[in-house]
Amino acid sequence: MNKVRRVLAAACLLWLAQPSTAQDRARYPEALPGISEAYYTAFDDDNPYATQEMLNHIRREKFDLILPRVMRDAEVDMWIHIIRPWTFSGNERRKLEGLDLNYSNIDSTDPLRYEFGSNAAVLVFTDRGGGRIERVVFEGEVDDAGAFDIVRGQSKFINQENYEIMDYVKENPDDVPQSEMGYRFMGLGDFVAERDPERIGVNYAEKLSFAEGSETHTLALTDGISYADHLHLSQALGGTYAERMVSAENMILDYLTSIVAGEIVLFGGSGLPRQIRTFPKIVPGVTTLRDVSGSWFSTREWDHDESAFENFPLQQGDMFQDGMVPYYVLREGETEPPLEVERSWDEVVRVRELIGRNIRVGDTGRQALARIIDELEEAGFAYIDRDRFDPSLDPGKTQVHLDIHQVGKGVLAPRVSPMGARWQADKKIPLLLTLGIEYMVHMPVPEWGEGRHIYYCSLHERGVVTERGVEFAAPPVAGIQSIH
Amino acid sequence: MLLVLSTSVIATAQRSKQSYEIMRLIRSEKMDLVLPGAMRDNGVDMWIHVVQSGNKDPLALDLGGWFEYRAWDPVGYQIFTDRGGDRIERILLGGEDQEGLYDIIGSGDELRELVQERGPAVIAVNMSDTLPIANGLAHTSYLRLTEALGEQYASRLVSAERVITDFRVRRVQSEIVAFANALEIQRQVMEEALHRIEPGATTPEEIGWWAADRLLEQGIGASYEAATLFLPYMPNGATDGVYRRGAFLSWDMGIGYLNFGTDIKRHAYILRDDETRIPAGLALAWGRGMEAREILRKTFQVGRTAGESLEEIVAALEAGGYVYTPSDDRTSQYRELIGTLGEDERSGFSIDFHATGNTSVGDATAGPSMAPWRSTTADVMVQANYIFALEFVINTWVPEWNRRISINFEDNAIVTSRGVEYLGPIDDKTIVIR
Repeated sequence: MNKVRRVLAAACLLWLAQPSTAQDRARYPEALPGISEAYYTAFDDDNPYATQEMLNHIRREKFDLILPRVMRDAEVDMWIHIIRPWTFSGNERRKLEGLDLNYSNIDSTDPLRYEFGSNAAVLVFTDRGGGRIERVVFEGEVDDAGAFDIVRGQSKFINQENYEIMDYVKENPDDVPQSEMGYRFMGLGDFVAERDPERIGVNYAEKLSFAEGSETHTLALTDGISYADHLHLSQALGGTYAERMVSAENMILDYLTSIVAGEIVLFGGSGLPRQIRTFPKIVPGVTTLRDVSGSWFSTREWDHDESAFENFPLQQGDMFQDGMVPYYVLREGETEPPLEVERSWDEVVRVRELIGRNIRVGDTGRQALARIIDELEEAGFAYIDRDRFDPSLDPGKTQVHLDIHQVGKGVLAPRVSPMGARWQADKKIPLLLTLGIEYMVHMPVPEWGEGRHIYYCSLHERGVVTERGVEFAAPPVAGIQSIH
Repeated sequence: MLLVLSTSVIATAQRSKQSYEIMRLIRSEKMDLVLPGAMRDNGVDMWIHVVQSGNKDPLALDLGGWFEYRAWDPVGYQIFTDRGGDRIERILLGGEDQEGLYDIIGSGDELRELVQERGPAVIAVNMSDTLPIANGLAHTSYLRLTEALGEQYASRLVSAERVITDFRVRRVQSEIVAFANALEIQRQVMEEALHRIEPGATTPEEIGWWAADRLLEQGIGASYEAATLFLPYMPNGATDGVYRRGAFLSWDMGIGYLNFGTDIKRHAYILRDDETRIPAGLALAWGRGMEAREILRKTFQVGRTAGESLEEIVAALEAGGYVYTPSDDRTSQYRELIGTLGEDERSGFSIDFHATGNTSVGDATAGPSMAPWRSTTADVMVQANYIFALEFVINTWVPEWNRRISINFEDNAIVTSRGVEYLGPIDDKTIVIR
């Protein structure tokens, strides 16, 4: 199945299967509704531990522990990050209307919306020595003002329909920005000159495409500021400092993928159990996969398209997945899945363990991929670079496809996969990277007929890369569930 | 056949199953990833953990297995042998392995033969003078063990306290997550409970029992039941049994969740009728605590022993203008020292960083602890991912109260290569009750 279709199908089905946000709200009154879907893992239930206090805590930990290092490594002594106002959709907010939300960034498409707690701001971080970075909200609003040293607030001219701006224009006819958007930067030149940075990182992309590489439940991430904002910013900084601007794209990626302990807690601790479903009312030969909101068949495919059987009735002896959990419909007289089905799960676990042993801190995604492929082939598997069963390969070998990637921040890099943009595979794997252990296993079953095989797709088991290899922040799927 | 469709999700014992799966993941990863290093770094090629069947062992949840009392097999053995390679061989004798964690299952009668086959040079067993969780070996079991091993191997027995310490303190990520989840549950309950106080009416018991019930609804009890006898932890600061205006409350609590135990504090102040904010003196004392915590955070690092760490911490705070007024946890030493400081504008301090993370706290659990009275672990190294209680006391002269007040701060944290990291929101502001 096409990867995008599979991911979207899984996301939609999981979303449908979840209790409503309002129900979660009643159950976990302090949790932020929608947060997990948008952020800490896509395809996750809402997270009872993702509270306003927890996100504020993480923001401050990252400011203290990560920010100085990433700026130093990027050799910038000032970072200007601009989130343009009025770019959020409002869809999420409308969905959550009436829930008394006390945070504003749910809708924003900026990759650092949660890190900074804002959906519209001009933020300036300056290395003024002492191992600490000065944090200033030069213009705009943030959810967690206490995390910043200076919060100047929203420009009083941000609303073009108020009287203040009319008065200002009347009194300062020679000092009116060409575009109203320029009001956000008024005074920024003096502010920057006072700090006199040598290199200023600004959030515009030169090579990386966060939009292409984003995998959030809701919206694609942006690549940074607009051309117009770049002009406004350059004008506000003036020639000397405008010339010192450099792209902050790699620093932003570094900041996103440098994980503090609190983030791993949210990543692994959704707390809600992975739902194991029961299907008391399946009628073999009648109930379809779509009827039970299943994701895809594991034992049926047509022309390598697992989705082709969505409307096909479930039969005894079928295996299908609901999200990451595999279910097998027992035949008459069976008390457990047959040996070949059990063996397919053993193969899945072997692949999972092999992956875990062969992802190392400091490797690029590409290096990790090469090592895993070598080890897979050494262990008797056949690597396939597309998630399609290849009938031309040795029927004695289980085929494995890989798409392991960063998860929990919406970006896919570092990525251990034949797919995706080159920069995603070039990115090095940092310590404590949160990783979606995504792989697909096709085990041939020649006795069922030529080309027949059992398929399992592991979407996003929640891995964390440590010096010991991959550890799981939450229990991976334990095995195949039988349906009687 | 009648067509009946269902798309509803029926949850079947999901929470219990999840708890089991979390513990199974932790056991499995610790044996795969931590156990080899814990044994090799301590020069141990066989670790025999002796369990008296029918009694709960301190490491029961860490090592798995099931030891129902059997008159014919009253002692169980969990034997871990370094036979080379990436993995430690796991044998369970005299019990059952219900989750496939062990490679070999057998009877206690097979102990001698299995040990002889493997010929270990150093055999660590769970006996310890200093570490309660490594001291589960009963005298009777010891006699049985040494008789079974024979003189040749019995003479190779050493304490497993170092192996057990490293096995415990080297945390896998799923342990950190589970522990932090417990912290967050506790934080939410404590803070909500403090906000329920009605000045002049609410009693400590009401708050304590209310919080205990909220935790019990989630299947959570005290972390150290033996200490509390199931009585709830209650905030102190009441006068004549009631919280009154002008009171500064301190609440020390630990909860037990899965195999994990917490130990944190929260503070609150009840405004007087004419107050709109915390009094200046209290705010000053609190601020001194916050500044001290930043110094502590920047000073405490991996790669030093507990003794060295305590010295560094004391030196750093003294350099920051604080005066060392150490408690010895027994005598009136601390009170006398702060009495000597009197109206001195400088703040005094005492340190009690201690191991935590699993049920039971302080001296009872494994890991380096940094306090004058916890010297038994002074030579134990602070390792990455060490979970500990960042506990300290700051005493400051408060002019309007005409006395020095001591505030005991305590949050749980881990120390990583980046330094101290908090796993969730910390006790960084006094909760104001109006």
